[in-house]
Amino acid sequence: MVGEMLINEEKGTEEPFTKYKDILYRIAFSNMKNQADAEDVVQEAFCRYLKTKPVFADENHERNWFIRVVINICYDIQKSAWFSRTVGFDEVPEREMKHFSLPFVQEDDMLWQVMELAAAYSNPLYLFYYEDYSIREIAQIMELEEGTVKTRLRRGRQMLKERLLFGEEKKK
Amino acid sequence: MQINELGKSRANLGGIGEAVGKAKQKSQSEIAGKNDRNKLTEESFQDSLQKSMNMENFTESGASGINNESEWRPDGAGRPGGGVISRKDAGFGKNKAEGISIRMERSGEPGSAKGVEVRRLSYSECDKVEINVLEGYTLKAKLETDGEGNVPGGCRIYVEMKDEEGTMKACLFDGAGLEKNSRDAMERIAYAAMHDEEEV
Repeated sequence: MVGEMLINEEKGTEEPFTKYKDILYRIAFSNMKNQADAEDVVQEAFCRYLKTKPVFADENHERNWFIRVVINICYDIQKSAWFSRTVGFDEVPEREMKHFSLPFVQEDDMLWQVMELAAAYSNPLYLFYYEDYSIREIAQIMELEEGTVKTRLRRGRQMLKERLLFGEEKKK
Repeated sequence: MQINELGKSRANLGGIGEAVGKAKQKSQSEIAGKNDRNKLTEESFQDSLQKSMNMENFTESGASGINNESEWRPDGAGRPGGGVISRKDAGFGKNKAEGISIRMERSGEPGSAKGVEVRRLSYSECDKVEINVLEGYTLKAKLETDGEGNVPGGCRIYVEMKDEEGTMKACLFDGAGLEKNSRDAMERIAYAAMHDEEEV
């Protein structure tokens, strides 16, 4: 009986892991810019899932919860004292690029440029363009107003243009 | 002295204006009559044209029955000749008399697009995806397998566009009229999707 329960529990964990591990890894990588940290973030997200065992209304709710948790973990790590004392990556190192691939989209240099933006801009841009999320979904995931998401998308694109034109992002 | 002359000229102008006004009234009534006559000759011309077109349709067996709903081409204004170009413009809606005059003017325009309902395809469902972050849009193209199928030059391509505001629009392209170097991004991806499929 206990064994059955354990198996069911394992199945319950395995299912979301199988469904979301790839997208969660991509989102974590776009924030952390390296494979090792991205994997740690995904692992931590599933640990939180096991600890809290949240109840979801539907699959979208479940997926959005995982994405939000991954983004929050990335923010927490980036804000941590350890991370600020060590050398974080502003750019995606070339050796790390091979650890990232989009399943249906041909990667271009713009993808790496998007990842180099501040997380407040890179996350909406990445989700909107490369994961094909709508503005409403991004607003739900990031717990922002739709207008704020639109503004960040616009400013993010503007920053990209400036980076391409002047070679360096204007610090605001 | 000068002031008086100015006043006179103003008075003359007023007189002239009145005369012009009367002349206008008269000519408008005349023009209205002429317009009626012109309309009659146009109608008879269209009737005869319609008859000849109907004869053509009768002899041609492959005429497709495309309805007369509003059709559009996004960013079509950039193309030489500009403006909105529809399937019937390119000579597809042959059994509709309404489009005759338009077809006569633009029968040589390549490419054809029909505005359709957005299906909200995921990237995985598409044959080709194009992301342009700087321009602020994403494009998704999918070959239509129903109807004419994947016959080269005969297939249809569904293209969906999401702009920077998240607004989506979609249209269906006819493979036969696509241009490789079109200024319209939707037409370009439709062309690319069709020819990638052919290569595979």
